[in-house]
Amino acid sequence: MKKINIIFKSKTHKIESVGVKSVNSYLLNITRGEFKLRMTQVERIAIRQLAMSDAIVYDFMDLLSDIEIVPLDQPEVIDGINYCSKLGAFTKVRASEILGNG
Amino acid sequence: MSNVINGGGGFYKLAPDLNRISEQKVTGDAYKEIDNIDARGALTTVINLSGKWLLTTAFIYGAGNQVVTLKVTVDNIVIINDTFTVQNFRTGIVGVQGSMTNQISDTYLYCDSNILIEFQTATDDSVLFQYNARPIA
Repeated sequence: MKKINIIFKSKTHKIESVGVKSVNSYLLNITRGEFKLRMTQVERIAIRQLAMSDAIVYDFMDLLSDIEIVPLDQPEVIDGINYCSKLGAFTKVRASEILGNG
Repeated sequence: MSNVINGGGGFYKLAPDLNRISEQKVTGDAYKEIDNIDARGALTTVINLSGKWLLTTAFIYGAGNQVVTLKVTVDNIVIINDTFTVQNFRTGIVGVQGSMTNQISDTYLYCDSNILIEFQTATDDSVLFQYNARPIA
């Protein structure tokens, strides 16, 4: 038996499917400014401080500085945020929120 | 003899679908999408709409050049139950989509309680479904 996912649900209406709801591609691409605003000031400062001593964080920051639009589903972006989380810039939950859709 | 005419439809009154625009696959294009439908081996639920609905777009993509089965049930009545070979990776069930203005099938499907679309492929484990469904009050 294949698992059924709920795609839409209200008090009176429901949509179910074996598939998964597709993410609007518009929500996966945000500006660099919007991306920074997803972090608190404390988190942004923590990342900058890490960049001074960690080559991977520096490289991630350098990458971000070169792009206008941040693709949230890009492996380099996901890895970069998760790496900063691993080093203590923010929690795993916050990393998930920063990378979240929309 | 009475000249009273019963019936006459009027417009449908839409029920809430509050995130309708942001959930469209591409903002501005009036369809949503369901991905990663593994329809191999047995009839698989592509979409199951419960409640009153108006389905104005329904296209299944994938499963090119293979024999598939499509079953559509509206309010417990099977209206399509067909086995055929898919060409061009696209099976149009309802509506017209995007630039593919030659893809015309039924105008829309309406249900009082349920629309169920099931699909079975021979080998395709990642069919996608593009649709436009409006909840009716």
